[in-house]
Amino acid sequence: MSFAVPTGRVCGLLGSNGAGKTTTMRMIMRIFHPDQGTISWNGTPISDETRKGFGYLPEERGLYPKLEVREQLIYLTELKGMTRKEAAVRADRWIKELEIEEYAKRRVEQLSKGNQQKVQFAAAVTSGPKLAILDEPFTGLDPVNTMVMEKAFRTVAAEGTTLLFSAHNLDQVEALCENVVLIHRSHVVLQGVLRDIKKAARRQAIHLRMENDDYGFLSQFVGITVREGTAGAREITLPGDMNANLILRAASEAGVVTEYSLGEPSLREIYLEKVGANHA
Amino acid sequence: MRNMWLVARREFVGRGKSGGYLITTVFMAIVLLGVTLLPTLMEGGEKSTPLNIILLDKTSSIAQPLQAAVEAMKAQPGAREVNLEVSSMDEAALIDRIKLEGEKGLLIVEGTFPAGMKARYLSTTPAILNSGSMVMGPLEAIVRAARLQARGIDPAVSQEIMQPLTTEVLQITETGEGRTSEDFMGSMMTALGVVMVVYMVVMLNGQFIFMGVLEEKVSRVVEVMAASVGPAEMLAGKVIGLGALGLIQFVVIMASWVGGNLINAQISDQPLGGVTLTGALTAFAFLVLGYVLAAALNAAAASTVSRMEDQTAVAMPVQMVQVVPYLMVMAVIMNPTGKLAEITSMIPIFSQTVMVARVLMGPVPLWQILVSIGLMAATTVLFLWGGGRIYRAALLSYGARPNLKQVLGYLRNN
Repeated sequence: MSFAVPTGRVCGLLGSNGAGKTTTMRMIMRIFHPDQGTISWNGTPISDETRKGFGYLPEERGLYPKLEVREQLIYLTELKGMTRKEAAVRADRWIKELEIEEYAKRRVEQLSKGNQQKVQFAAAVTSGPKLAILDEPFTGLDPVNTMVMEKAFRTVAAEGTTLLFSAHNLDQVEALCENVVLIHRSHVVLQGVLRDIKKAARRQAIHLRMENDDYGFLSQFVGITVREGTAGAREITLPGDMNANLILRAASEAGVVTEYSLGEPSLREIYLEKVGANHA
Repeated sequence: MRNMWLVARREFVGRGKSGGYLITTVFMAIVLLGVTLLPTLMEGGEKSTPLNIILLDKTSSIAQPLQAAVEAMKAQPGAREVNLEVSSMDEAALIDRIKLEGEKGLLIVEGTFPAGMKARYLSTTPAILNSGSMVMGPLEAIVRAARLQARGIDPAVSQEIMQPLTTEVLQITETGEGRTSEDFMGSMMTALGVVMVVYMVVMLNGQFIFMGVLEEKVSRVVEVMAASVGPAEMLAGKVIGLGALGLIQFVVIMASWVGGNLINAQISDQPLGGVTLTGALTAFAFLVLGYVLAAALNAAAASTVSRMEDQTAVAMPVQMVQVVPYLMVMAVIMNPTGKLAEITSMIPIFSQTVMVARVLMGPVPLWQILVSIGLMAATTVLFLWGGGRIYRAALLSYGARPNLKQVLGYLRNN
């Protein structure tokens, strides 16, 4: 497996369950050592010293249950090489950014899961790391907390931290990432700048939803592929030389069209195309 | 290195502030102080209250000489005061009175004086019964003297015959001084006290290591830690941080114990078994080595546990290993120069109690102490090496608890 993450970018690491995302992240954090190959940072193999500049949010969340939130953040930041004073200033800042001021003096075990997750995120970024490895940082958050985290995510990225994170919500990845790496069965099947990937995958694709849910009229077209998308909508791929308006005209004759779009495939479609085909 | 100290500080502050540590330290200090002081205080308290005895003399010959003997005892320094009240009431009435008034003894003397005399001593209180010898002794002496006199022996001669014999039991030591059995008891108490405190501190802080590693693993914080701190630093920090707490605990508890004994010695004039410099240094060396060994053992064991439910199955054998040397202590302390003591004081793990007890109870050749410490140190290093390997390998693996074969596998390939 080989992939590169450009400095100062937000990069999504995608792949199905068991593809090797968590293992890859653990190897970057030197928790596991690769059997072969090297992991480099700015051209030199990573060491315990370079690791000090990395933040980490593990898939299995873990904090000292009996330790107060603020004290915990200070301790974990100190371990990254900061003085206690520096660590305290940074801890206070992220407690504020993540809107958990009222819990700062509470023990972690007294917090809800969502708030614990915010503390976990803070633990990964308080040291102002050059690289933050975040393993499924959004799992289990409610919509309000997701927004708070997304905002914090952008703040971290804006301050020059390279972010590598894994997620299963591809719409979120599309909204947050500039780069993506897609791995399948321990191999990279796709990587690069998301915009370029989408441009390259651009084809005659239609997203269509009919009010009456009757898509029988599509059978008159030869050469198209039809897939059921979210909530019963259809994702239609046309042959290169076909006029897409033919479909729109037939649809409006068959009933009321509630959704219609033509253009780039979504990340979800690209993902399913790459992984779905090889999944079995 | 810096992170190791940070971990050590965290462990020290975190565990030191915990109720468990503070309570056990204070509790053990109070218990030891109490245990050492209480008997003397109770005895001293008893000594200061007079012993009240009612005498029912059916022979009409005992009351006077016994009263005289009791008066004579009062003149002796440090003796407990005995008040004898001669009564002529009916026996049943006197027993009722004793039942009513409590805290009193009833001495009934009957039969023909001196040849066929019989005495009974009654009380409702065990403590008063235990003090019966204070009147029964003089009573016996009076009856014997009267019997001798009846056989025509001059009272002066009989008094000479009845004179108690002075006996002394002494142990010959290398310094040539004779040690009395009281000295022996004193040093036995000292040895027992020091060994028990070493035991408690090693066990307790070893368990703190177990709990700490378990908590980190079960709460999964270990992965966050592993991303910043190497396993060796993490373990060393823990051992140092909790070890410092253990040392403070040892000093506090020993201070209370020594304090109690010093007060004891003041009150009862009993010699306290002295602790020599060699004894103190040996105890300290074994305290540190024993603790590090226990820490390595506990850390390795705890690191193989992924779920709280599994902890007892792992903790039990570890505690068994640690308890074994303390089971030897009593046998060794009763006979500190025996073959059993000499051999087990050389075997690591056993030596942490046996050698300490031996050194505190009498001179031990220096080479034996050094070899014993050397062997124990080598074993500790071995445990630290093996324990460290198991800790490093098992710390981040979750799922079913590894069996013995897998654990041995951690020792080989790591």
